[in-house]
Amino acid sequence: MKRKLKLLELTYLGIWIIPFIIFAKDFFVLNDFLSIFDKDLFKLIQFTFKQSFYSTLFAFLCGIIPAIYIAYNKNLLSRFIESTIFIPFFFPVVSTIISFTILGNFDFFKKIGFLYSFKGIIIANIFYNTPIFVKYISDGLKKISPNIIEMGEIDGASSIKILTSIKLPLLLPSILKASFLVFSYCFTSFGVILGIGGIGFSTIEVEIATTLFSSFNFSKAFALGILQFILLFSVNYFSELAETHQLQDEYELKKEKVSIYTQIISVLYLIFEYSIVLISIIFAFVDKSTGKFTLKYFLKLFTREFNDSYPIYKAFLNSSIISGITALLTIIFVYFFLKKYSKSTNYVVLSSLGISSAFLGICLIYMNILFNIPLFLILILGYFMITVPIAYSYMYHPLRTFDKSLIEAGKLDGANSVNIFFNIEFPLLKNIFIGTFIQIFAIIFAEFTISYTMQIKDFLPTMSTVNYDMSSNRHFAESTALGALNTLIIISLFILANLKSKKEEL
Amino acid sequence: MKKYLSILFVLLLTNLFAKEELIVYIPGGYGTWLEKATVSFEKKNNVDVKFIEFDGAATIVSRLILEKKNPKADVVIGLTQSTLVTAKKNNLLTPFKPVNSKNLRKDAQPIDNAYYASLFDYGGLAIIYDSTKLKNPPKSFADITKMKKVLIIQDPRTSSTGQDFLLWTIALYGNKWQDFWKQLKPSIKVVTQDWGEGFDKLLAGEAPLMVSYASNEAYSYEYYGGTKILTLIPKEGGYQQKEGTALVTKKTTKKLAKDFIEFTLSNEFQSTVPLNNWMLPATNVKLPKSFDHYKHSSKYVSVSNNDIDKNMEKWLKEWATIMKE
Repeated sequence: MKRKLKLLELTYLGIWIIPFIIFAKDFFVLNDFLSIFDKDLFKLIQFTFKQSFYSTLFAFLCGIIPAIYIAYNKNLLSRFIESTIFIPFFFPVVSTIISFTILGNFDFFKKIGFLYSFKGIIIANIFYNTPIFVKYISDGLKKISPNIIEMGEIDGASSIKILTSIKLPLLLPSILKASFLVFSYCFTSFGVILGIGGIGFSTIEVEIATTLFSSFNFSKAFALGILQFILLFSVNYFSELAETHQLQDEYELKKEKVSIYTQIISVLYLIFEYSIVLISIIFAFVDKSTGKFTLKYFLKLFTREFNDSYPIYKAFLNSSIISGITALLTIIFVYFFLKKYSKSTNYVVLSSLGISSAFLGICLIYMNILFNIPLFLILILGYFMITVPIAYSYMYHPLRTFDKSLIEAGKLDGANSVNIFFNIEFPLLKNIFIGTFIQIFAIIFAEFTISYTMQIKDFLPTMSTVNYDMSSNRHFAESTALGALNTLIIISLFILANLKSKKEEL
Repeated sequence: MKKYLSILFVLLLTNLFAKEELIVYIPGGYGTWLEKATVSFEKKNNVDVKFIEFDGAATIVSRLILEKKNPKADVVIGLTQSTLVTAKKNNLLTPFKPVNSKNLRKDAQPIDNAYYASLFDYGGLAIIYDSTKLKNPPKSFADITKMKKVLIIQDPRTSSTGQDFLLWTIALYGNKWQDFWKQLKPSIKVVTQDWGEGFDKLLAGEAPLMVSYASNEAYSYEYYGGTKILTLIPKEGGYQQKEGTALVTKKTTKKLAKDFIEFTLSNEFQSTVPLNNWMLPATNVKLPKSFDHYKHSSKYVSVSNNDIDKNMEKWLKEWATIMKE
């Protein structure tokens, strides 16, 4: 079994490394790697770290109170706060840029001047990544045994003392894990930097993309890609140190009375997150010339004439099939990964977190050009690579802490592994699988960088490429409508999944 | 046996009458127009012209570099001066001088003297402005540099319009172009990724001036009978963006590929250019009435392909440094 596991790990490494090796063989020159190390590169790395650090710090500060609220409360507000987790993985950057542009032109926000500034980058990254902290910290709180808290209370510790001396130290592994995840996302941030920060700011990922498309220096882009990978892999290596101290059990926490400040901050957090989402949706219902309510942009999306130029139906079908297949494959793969977990599994899976999406797209299209591998497969392969670490972090805890005695009992009764999966594991883990499936489906459905870099619109139209095409051909209103429609579809999926799990809990 | 022979016969017949395929890489947004405009060529030559859209000329060249070992396209349309230079440098194109290139308009210049690409269309860059917000528009670049946060420009690293604007300023100011950009920087409100994003920001009122095209008013008169967005060519001189058509280097170049390039320079095809691509046609066809509103400049400046070849990467880097300072 150990050999099988190694084979699985090697397969995964092979899947993402082979396209890069093939590309490097034809385009990479070692001198280009050495030539990137100059004063400008130092500034670039410095800024990439700086914006990632501040974004992570502020996202953490904004997330801690809402996380405490949802850990100790189960009500409508806590469910809404929990549902913001779809934002970092699904909500398109283009929609965020639209919302920020609209907000940024209000007099009040003009005075703050967050558009095209470092402040804007940090605020957008807070918007995107705070939900990750909320999820990880609230999950972490649920893993702290109520007995320890009670013992502290018996010893006369105040609530602040309990927070600082018991809860926070025990939460540290969860905070570190979330921090490194958020740091990685901010580190590879592309759209936010260009669309909200503007020309004055550049990260390694931005530099990779502009090198690919302006100077066509693939070798230099590859060198920057390697550098980004090394830097992020090193950062993620440290995140693994926290893993050994992570609490594993989960408790049903009793409802605690939260202060009015905690409630107000939690409501403000919810307003902040959903206002950005809602602005982009509402904007699609506004007639751009009269400013009145309209459905015309939505209706136009479904006309045959419009579909002749922008194949929305086809793109919807392609994106749905590709997202569905990839999500299923990813879950199966991660399930096997976690079933036979070893310390090296973490490094293998997290290694792909540092891959530049823009560069991955170029390497994948090169595979298609050289070997005529169908784009459909190539795209599934690319999405598989970027979603495995996400599915892994989602399924990690439930699978690793699954009650092994149940499986042993099944084995004693003579059940084979298929029977054990369908009769024991699947019924108990069903909600985790469904939740992860929807999450992965949503990410792929909205994914833009890889499909854009591959320039596959005319070969295999997907929702994001068709939407971008509409926007760049000045069908801005229709593009916003399609973006809003996508957001509504995904939010509905999340609500349905939540309702189902709630029904089962009852 | 008879059954197999008849299947073989049908297959042979199908193959015999199958249309030849010509693959043409084009910039985004050109597809619908080109498909309609080349119907007669397809019928006459019994060929299926397949247009594949890319985001822009830069992404086309990027794809050609990747496909160098296994080229798929026969022809490319929409190469700009700088992307043409890159394509030439990477040996991606085969020179071909079309017979119809003798019909170029008086003021049109070839995009490449060695005919690695033929002029397809051309058009002036311009500064457009919202006349409701700017009652006293600037007349020159010097005037613009005196205004604060008013101009929307495109990033030359991601946009061909942005790249040509940079070349325009280099053509005007020569070795002192960096000084000009340092003066212009306070006037710039936002740098967008492409022309479309910039135009949306102009309409949204984010800034009153934007780098765009001299055909802006012609477009508005054709569709809306007028516009509040007016056009000016700074008095220092105009700059023309050129787009070219080229043969992709393959083991064997299809004759049809050359015929297709000839066709793109025919009067039949060129007459579709103004109202579809909002550029001036390469050949001397009659312009539509709305093009009376096209803004011309009394003098045009340019940068040679040779200079672009030697300096483009350096210029882009220097530009980025100025903008980030």
